[in-house]
Amino acid sequence: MRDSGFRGNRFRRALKIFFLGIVFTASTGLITYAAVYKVPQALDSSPTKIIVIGKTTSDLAFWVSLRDGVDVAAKEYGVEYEYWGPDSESDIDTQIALVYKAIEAKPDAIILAATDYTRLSIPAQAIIDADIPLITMDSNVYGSDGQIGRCFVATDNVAAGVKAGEAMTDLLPAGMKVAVISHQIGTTSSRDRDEGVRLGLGTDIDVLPTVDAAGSEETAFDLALKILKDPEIGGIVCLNEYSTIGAARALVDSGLVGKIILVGFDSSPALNTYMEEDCLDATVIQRPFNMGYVAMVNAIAVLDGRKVESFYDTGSILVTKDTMYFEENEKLLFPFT
Amino acid sequence: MAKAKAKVEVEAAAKAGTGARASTRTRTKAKVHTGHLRNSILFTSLFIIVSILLVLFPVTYSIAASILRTNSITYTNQMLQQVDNSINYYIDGMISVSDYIVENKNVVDYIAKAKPATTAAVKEELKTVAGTRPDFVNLIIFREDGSFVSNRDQMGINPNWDYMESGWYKDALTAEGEPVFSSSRVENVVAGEYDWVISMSRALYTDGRLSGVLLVDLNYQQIADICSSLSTDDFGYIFIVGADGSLVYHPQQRLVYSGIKTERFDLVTRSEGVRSVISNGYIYTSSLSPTSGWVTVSVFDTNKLVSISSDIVILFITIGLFFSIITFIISYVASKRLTDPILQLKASMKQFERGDFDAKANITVNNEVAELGDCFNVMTEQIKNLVEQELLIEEQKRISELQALQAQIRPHFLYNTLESIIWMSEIGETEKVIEMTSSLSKLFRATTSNASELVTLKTEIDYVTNYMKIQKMRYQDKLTYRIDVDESILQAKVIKLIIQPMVENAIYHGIKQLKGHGLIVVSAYSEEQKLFITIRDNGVGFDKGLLDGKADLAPKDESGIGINNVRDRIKLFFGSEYGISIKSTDPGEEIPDEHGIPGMRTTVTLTLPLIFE
Repeated sequence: MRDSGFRGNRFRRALKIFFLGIVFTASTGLITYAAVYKVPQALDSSPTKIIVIGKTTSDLAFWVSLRDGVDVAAKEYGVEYEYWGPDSESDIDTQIALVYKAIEAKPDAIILAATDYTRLSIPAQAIIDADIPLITMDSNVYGSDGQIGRCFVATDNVAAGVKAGEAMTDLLPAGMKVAVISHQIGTTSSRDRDEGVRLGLGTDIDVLPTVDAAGSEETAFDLALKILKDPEIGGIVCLNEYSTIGAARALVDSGLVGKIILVGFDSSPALNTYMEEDCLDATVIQRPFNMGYVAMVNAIAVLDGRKVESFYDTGSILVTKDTMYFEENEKLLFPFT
Repeated sequence: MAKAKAKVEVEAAAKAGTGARASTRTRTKAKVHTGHLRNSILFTSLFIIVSILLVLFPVTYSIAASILRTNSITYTNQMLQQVDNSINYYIDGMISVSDYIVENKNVVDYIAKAKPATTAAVKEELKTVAGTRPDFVNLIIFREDGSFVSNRDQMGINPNWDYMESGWYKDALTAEGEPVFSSSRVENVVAGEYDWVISMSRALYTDGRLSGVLLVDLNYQQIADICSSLSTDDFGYIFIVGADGSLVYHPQQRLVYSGIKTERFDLVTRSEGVRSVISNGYIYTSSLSPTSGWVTVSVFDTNKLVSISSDIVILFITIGLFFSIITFIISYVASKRLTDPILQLKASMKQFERGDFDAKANITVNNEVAELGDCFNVMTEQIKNLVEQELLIEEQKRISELQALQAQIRPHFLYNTLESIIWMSEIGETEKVIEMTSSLSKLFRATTSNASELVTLKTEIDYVTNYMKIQKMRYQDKLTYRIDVDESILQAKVIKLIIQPMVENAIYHGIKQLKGHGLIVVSAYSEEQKLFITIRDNGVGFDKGLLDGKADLAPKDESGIGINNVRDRIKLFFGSEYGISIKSTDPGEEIPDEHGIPGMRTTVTLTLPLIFE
């Protein structure tokens, strides 16, 4: 009995020493870990670098606002970024070249707004193959399994198109035809909006085949002038900022302001003025600031190892002259710096 | 000699089974005990430091957290106060500017459409006022008839908008001459410009009749800069809500507007003085400015304190671990200093336990353990003396016992011999009586001589010879004897009275029962520093059982000293490797012919060391 008691005590003592050993090993490990790993990590000041490849470097209000969003997010999270892009949205080759250049620069992540759904597919795959996290925004890229990047941040363009189509349906005089001017027919944003507009217009309204402004305000202007020659045309839907401006100019030039219904996309000081002048009847505005901001934040989240939603809808709002100075719309139409 | 023997005794005892088991148990016990002392010290000191840390930590933590909290809230509130003051100063400035304009003679004349006042003069006045403050964007006086004067040259009114429908215009009319402040808004009254401004509007009266509205637009960026320069802090921020509930300023205004970030406007209180509302760890402190109707709100995020607090926890754990390790090391060293002499003492005790009575504890430190060591040394010394004394007494006892046994020979033998003499005298064998008596006399002389235990082999042989002579006379032809000893070893030392008992044994147990003629041969020879003495006889031989079972060979008859006595004495004197061996063959078995003497049935060999003094 006495002996077994001894053994019990001894066992407990051994157990105590064992646990003490574990505690000390763990603590020594912790301190070593902190000293060897955490401290240099904290001292390592090389910041995260992200390359953002937009559709254009021009001063289109949409892209200016989007870049603002990217900038605000980058500053908020202390991330370095570079914004690259071709001069024009139609310069797909340059954007492809920029993607390869970006891969060579070995950034921590790449954010891409594709100028072409199919042609940017192979360069996008190259980004993924180079083990660089890819975030797509505004316009997506074809991927074999639907989604190529970690996350796609964009306006739900079909829904936005539906809003434009419905606004046109409300305003269009009965029996008149509608024309659609696209901005860059190869992009998802263009395709989806077009699809949405046709959904919004319904089956009763006659819609002409979509024409492509191919990234140029002048082309849109010429196309609109051509369209306006058709007396049966009652309304034009334009799918982005410069195509809308081109069509608005055509309306002013043709003296058809107030006679033809114009529904556009996006906003700019010029478009705001057209709207005040009753030339532009309604516009669907996106949240480019949000797009840039969320794309950047999600890229940072991916780099931090957090999960992000595969699609982030930044939403859209239909604005008319009556609602343009509503507080919530004012902020989107007149972005302040 | 006595000492050496004592050692042998004790060692033998230690090697014995029971002794070994006992010592194993003591060792196990001792091991546990030494470990225990050091561990106790280590655990006690660790327990103390950990307890202190455990008590100290929550106290320090809560104090630190509350100080941090109080300081941060105080700081945020000071910021709130500062922003409030700056905003009020700014607004008061605008009011005094508007007061100046309203009371200006030219302006009064202009709105009253009195004669001397011209648009140009009013424009100059407005330009002068605008020149005093760089943040003025527009200063416009709208007359009731729709005409206006601005501080800016060539400024057109946006034709697409009716300014009379704007909020600032309507609010000014409602306020009846009091200045009204808008929140941040886009100024759309100027053609082709869309500036973010904060507007102050004020209805103008001439003789109590509404005659115009003054609009003062301030660059929004200016006010945002004031706020942002004051409201950047780790724990919170400040935002301003306008009289209509819309945002005047927010550090993340664009994110709030774009819906990415949401602001808890429901926590803003719109009442006189400073009020705080707490929700989800956020403290919203609102301060209403009576002049502008703006509410300055400070938001303090106590959740951020938690992350600071977790830093404190990590710091504390690190410090705690550091001190625990230091304590462990110190107490380890201290306990080692304490336990080492104890272990030293233990080692000495073990040595003592193993039977080394010369074990001494040499403890170098100067403390209680050293005293203990001294006590131990005294004790071992005493025990050693006691044991030696005890062994000495034991030895003396044995010797006296043996001497007593040796003495036993005399009465027995004397009795028998005297009976023989009587018998021989009766039949008149005078010659033999003389011879026998002479031998008996010699025998007695040898035994009574008080010489030491060791005698020469010659003395022993003489003794046996005398004994045999007597026995020969008693047994006549039935007994023959021969003594065969090498001359060279006659001076070797042997224990006295070891051969005679063997011979006696041979006569009484071997020859006596033999039907025929008995022969006893005593021989001695040396081999490899050993002395062998053999006593052979052709008697009936040993009982097999006695030989095989190694049973006690104690004498069962009057012959007295048995083989055991002789063996004990030999072993006691010379060690266990010496002693007696007996070889015996059964009757009827073929008897080997040894040393040319046939028929020897029993051989008793005494093995002793070959010693010459």
